[in-house]
Amino acid sequence: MITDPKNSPIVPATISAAPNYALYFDSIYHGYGDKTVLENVDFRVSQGSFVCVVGPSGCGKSTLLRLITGQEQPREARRFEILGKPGGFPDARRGVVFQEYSLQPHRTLLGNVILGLELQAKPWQLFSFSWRKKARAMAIQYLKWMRLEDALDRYPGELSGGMRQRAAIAQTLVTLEPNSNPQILCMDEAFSALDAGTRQDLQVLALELWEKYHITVVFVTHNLEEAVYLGTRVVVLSQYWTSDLGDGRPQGSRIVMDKRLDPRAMRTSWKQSPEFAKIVAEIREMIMNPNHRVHVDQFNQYSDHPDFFQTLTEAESRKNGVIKRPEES
Amino acid sequence: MQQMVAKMQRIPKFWGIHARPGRVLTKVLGSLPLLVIIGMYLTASHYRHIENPSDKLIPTPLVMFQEMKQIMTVPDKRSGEILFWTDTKASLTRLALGVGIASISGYLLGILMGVFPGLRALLTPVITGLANINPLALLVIILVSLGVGESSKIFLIVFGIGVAITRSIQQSVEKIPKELIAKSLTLGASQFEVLTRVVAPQMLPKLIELCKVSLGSAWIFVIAAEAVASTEGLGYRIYLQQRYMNMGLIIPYVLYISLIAYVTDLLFQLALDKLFPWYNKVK
Repeated sequence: MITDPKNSPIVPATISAAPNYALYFDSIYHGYGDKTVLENVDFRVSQGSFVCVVGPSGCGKSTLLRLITGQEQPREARRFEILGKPGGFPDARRGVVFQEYSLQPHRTLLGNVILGLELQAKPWQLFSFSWRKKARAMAIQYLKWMRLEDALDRYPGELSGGMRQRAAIAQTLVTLEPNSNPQILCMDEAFSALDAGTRQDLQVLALELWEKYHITVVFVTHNLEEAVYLGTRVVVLSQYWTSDLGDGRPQGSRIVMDKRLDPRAMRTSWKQSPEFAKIVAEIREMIMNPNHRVHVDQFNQYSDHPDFFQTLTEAESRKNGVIKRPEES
Repeated sequence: MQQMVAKMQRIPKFWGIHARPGRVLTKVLGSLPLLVIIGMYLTASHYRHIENPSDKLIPTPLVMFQEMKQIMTVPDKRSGEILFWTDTKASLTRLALGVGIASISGYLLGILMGVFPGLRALLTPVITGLANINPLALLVIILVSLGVGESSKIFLIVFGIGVAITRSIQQSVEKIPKELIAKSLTLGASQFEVLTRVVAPQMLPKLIELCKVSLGSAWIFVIAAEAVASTEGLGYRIYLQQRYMNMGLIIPYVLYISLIAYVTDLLFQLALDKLFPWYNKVK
């Protein structure tokens, strides 16, 4: 038990059991060489969240994603758990769409999408004609959703960046239905290379799949409208300058803002509402002022708990950047 | 009536960095130096032949033709074989075995060293050391320890090009983006599957390309080994004829070796284009 009263967290009385966390990062420190990238990052994501990570370039968004996928291990961490288990190396529970280099150059687009199904299949299924046919049909279906039905037999090297990006998304998502993998989906600016129309279609598709398969999504983006539209939660990661030391050196990034959004607001019409614009402006201001330090209160650690909305007063919610869920009538 | 025609920039045919020699001009330009060299040779041989009809240093094409005709049609008195084909078969067998063994072992070892950092740490000093040994300087040691049979010649080729192939493959494996490996792991690949389904297939065209490039050095080692210790082979024949100053046979043999090298190079390029259409499209 915690004995030091200064360090004891303020635990809302109603929260007793730990909620179901997909990611439980407590005091993560990470960096390369002398450089600290992430400093004291607490990042808890309950299962089924759609977390959008935004922040200025070079603030460590991709580094955070690499920690989640297991490509890198944190230097220091009080707790570093993914789906209730210690981090570990990349595995099928965590899907990822990189900015680039997601597709195998020696396989056609169809081959690339089928690859995931093949790798997760039972050995005997690979020799079953009906299974192969089904896998092929499924892969084609996903590529059609990505509007790539004309490029099934093309190699990644022949295609434009946007087409490759869409194929990479199909490749990652195709195992959702047969294997319920990935359970955590990491997307690193996955929609950045797409035109406006395709982007909007894919945003809707992402939301549909998220709802249907109850996956946890960590979505890194530079587009704030996209972040506020898609996310149930928007996390702003930013470097901060220590004035305490007096030398004004940039330190590692930490979470300067953690904004929870009502999932039910996620529909296209919400984008036109003034509140939407207000939230976007608020986040933009936060990103553009890296000196603007916001302390995420200690009890905010528990704000990801499903009961969180009930346990906080309205004033507290506003203070912590929580949109109050509308009363159910 | 005067037509309005925009004044277009004239594109030069030959001079300057904007030049675009057409198809025909490219062929003409390319054949010019060749024709000059052949012409010079023919003139020289012609006049030397007039001065001294039994000249052996710069033989006329007729002499070369007769020499080749004899070696290609008249069986050898001692063995009863046609020496030209015996030589070709012997040299090509050595070459194929050497390049085959070197490429397969280099491919496997290179991939393993590229993928597994532990193995890389274990073997890199040895491989780097071996790469700095000149294979031709090692020839005597190979002959003494392995004898003058076929194995020593093949070993020379394997040693000469195998180390380079291993290092090249290893470096290419290390150049595969880490994201690609991570991606396949998140798709559900095991460590073994990363090896067999991601790394190995991507390295196959690289291997063909390396074989193509290594054939040049492989020929050097074949000829060198045959010159030192052999009883048949293209290199052996050339060095044998050196004693009689028989340029009439040596020059066609050299050209024949060049022709084989040219054809094999073409075949490898063809295989590369046909089997791995994606290879040159990788961005």
